[in-house]
Amino acid sequence: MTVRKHRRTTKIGRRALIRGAAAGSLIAAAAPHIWIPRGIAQTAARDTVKHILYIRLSGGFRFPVAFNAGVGDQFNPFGRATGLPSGTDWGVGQLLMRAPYLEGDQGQALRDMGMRPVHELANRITVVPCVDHEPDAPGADGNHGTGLERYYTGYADGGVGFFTMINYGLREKVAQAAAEERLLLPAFVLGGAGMGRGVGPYAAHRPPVLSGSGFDAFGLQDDGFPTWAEAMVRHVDERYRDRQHPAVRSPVQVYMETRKATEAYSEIFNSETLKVANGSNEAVDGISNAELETLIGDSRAGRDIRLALRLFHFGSPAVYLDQGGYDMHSNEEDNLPGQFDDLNRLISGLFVALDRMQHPSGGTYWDNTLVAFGSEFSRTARGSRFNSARGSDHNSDRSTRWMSMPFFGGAIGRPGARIGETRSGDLEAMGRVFSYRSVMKTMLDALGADHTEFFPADPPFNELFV
Amino acid sequence: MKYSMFGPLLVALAWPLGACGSDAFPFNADNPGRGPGELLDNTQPLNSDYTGGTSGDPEAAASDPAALAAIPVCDATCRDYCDGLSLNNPVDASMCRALWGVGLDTRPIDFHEACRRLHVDLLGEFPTRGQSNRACADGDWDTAVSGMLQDERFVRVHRRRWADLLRYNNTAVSIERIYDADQLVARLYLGYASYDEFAAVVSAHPVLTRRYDTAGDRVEALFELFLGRPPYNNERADMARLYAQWENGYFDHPALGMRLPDATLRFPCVTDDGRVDPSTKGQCTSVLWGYKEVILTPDYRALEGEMWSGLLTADEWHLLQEPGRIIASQLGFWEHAVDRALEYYLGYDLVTDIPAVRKALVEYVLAHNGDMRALHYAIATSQIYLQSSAGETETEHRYTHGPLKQATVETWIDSLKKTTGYDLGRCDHRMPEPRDIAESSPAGIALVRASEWDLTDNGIRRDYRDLARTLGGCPDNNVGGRFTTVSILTTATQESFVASVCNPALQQNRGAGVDALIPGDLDPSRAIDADAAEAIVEHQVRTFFGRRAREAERQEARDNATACTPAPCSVEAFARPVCYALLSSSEMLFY
Repeated sequence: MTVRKHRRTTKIGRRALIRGAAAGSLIAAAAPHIWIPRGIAQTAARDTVKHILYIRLSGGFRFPVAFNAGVGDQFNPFGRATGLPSGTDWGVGQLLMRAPYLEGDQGQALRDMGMRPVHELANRITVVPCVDHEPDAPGADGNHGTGLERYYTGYADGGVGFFTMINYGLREKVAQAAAEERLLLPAFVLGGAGMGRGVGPYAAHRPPVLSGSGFDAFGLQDDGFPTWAEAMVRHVDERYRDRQHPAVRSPVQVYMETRKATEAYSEIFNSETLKVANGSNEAVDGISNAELETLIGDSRAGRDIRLALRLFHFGSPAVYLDQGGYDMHSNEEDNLPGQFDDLNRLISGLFVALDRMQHPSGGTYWDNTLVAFGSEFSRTARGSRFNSARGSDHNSDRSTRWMSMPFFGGAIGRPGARIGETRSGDLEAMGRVFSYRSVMKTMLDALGADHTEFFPADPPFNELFV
Repeated sequence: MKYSMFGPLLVALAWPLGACGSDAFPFNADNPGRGPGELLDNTQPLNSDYTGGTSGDPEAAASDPAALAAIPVCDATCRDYCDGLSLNNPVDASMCRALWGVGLDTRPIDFHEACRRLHVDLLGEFPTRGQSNRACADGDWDTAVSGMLQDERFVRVHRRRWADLLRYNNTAVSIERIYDADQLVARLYLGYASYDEFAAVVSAHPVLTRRYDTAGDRVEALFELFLGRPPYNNERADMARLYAQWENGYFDHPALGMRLPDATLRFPCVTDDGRVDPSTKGQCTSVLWGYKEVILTPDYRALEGEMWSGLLTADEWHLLQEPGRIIASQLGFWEHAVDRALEYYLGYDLVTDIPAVRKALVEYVLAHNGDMRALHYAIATSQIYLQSSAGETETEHRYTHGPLKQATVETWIDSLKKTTGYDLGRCDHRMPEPRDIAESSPAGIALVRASEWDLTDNGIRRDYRDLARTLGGCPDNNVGGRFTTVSILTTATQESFVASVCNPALQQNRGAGVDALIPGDLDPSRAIDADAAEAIVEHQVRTFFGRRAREAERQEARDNATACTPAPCSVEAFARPVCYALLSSSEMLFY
């Protein structure tokens, strides 16, 4: 598939981009002005993170089997990992030891590149065992729809997705960059569109939602598209617009302006760097697309993560993606371990890539990136190791409730730490409990986003960073 | 309402045996729907035809246009004028006192524009010129709309719309229930179920109850769905008691080999020995809309106090549908149906300015036994809807010119596929996440194969889904659902897709076949000339836009024939960029 690339545009095109964005909503357009931080609740890490990679373990992930493993068998029937590096305080699940990707000659090559089993990286990961949708509610929200809505927006039926909040919160920075003729990509959603909800004043800041093949399908056509046809493209739209009653012309006009604005992005969208499946050996930020594929793999989530790293190169502050399918009401006992083979490889490869990649603004991507994993809820087998179908379900109990979220990246102040605690026998929370809203606000804060309008009762928390 | 007593009883009797083997629990991959929708089995359509129809472009009363900036009051003369018009269409008749009667006028109907609009709204795809000519019967709009309402594509359009409204997602709700709800929607739009009957069944259908977590959430969803507003606190609390029985559980499907999320029931208002408990039955009783008890008592079908909803009898389903009957008894229920339909066809809010339209349409629908097809007929044959969106008017009132709307993603993609023959998969609104089903068992594979997904040797084909989801369609309905937007990414994606279809740069082995892009008598390898260029543009405009090429387009084609380089261009080298120009244009996106 190819995309027609109009004439490359520079300054004029970027101005057009801003106009189109205002009409269309890829980024928010605002009059350039000076960025003035406001007096808002903030963490020690405010504005220290340039990128967030937010990964959803799809379908409801049984967190204790991986990230809060030091609990009873009824919560973690797969056991705990051994051979952990010193400085690891959180419960590492045995499933994180699985590393078939490191076996054989190909595995040795990956080891030579620095990849290791995830449990050996545990002292670089921090886990918050008790993240909840509603800490004050009597029970968990184990419903697929509303649980996911809370994950995306902070509330059941929330109107603004977290990634819309990111774009909205960074609107002034984006405008300032645009005034300096710098083109910054917005936050991208590579999974569920709910993360990009937006109503009212936030609608114009909804992130682009990209499904499937990413930018690999886009292609340059400078050499092939005839000049006479370029004029025809324009004339067809103009004639249609001009025929319409003036009162209904605006959507056509917006479309035409967006087409012009697209020209400004064409250089990025058509860039070989974003064609993460092209097998290129050309190093960008110190690593080639081929090497990224070798490290992170070619699963769906692997491609998305590779694309995320490349979108970061073009200034995108955050990428959201879905990984796996963990809604295993049946046969979890047999099938879940295999799912970890992909997840572990992604984590392991991501560590190497982040360490190795040089960030355009200095330091490594590890220094500038925060990675977090979440899910719509955890899972329960209602007091048994598995349900009657050898799987697990989700309801209102504590086992469903606590989403034990792992975080890593340069901004993390206490790698290897556990921030909070659950009692082994019944998962009673013994330490701090954080709402998803607080987690989101913490991430917004780390990005330096304006979050004054979001979640006023759920402050960001410092424990991740100090 | 007509119920069959036998279906659920058979299922109920078969289930204890069926759990042991698929012979007693038959599974039909072509028609897996099971649920309360099966019980609504009216065999006669609600109406064989509809009153009303088109109004014949009424004349406006004489007036001073300068005085019409605000809608004038319709005085006695105006009322007499409107009465004298004898307008049959309920939309037009109720509009008259704010339109023709006060001296405002509508735009004339443009045949191809109106037919194209009808085709998209009623059938879900852009027509070719030939299709327009056949479907719209020389401008006999009553016949045209009646014919389209009989078309299965009309039903399909609304099955997909209700998939969005009910947010079908097969990881959240049993696939059998989704198919049942889909068939229920089909019955509504085939005219075999009235809207109030439909609402009653949906109110206690697992696609709704299993989708939400608490009784209050279910009430809220029901209100939003059928009244277009959230419930007040007292309404929510009171009606929640009628949802007290419902739980979210699972059903181990013997044929699919999957544990399906499904609705179950508990018995909160009965004693330990299974009788209605006088001391707690208030928790299952609504009093806000009259005294309504919804209490089931357990029997042998319940295990550990919980019963799978698939074992409910017809009488029990009927009892559980009380919330829907309450909702449907309110005027707001019908008004919301009217508002939603008007918004669908017009793309703007008409009733806030002209509430008489809402009232007239509610009366019209009730006079047609609650038949949704009648509502669609009335709006689709109205002058307000059919009039042209082109040209200018002396005032800016929204209803004095025709609507212009953005096509849905599926309409856009399907039309490109159909008109060019481009090879692309499909997606199925009933099964947004087919992978787990396809991987579950042979029955699961059969189910996916029988669905609209393309299951190939390489797995489920995802090209259509990936494209549609990037553009906002084919939603997974986990959260959020469909979106319609014009953004840089969606526009770039559309341009990219059109480029892949048309292959304007003539890359080898790319794009749709050239035969669809040129008239049949043209050799694609011959050199282009002015006549051939004009013929190509005429052919593509007819195929893609459903009309004849206009003079400016034909002249541009002739000019481009000489501009095309390297000269002489071949017919194909000319036709492919033209294809790109037309298919990527706003005329393929807005209608």
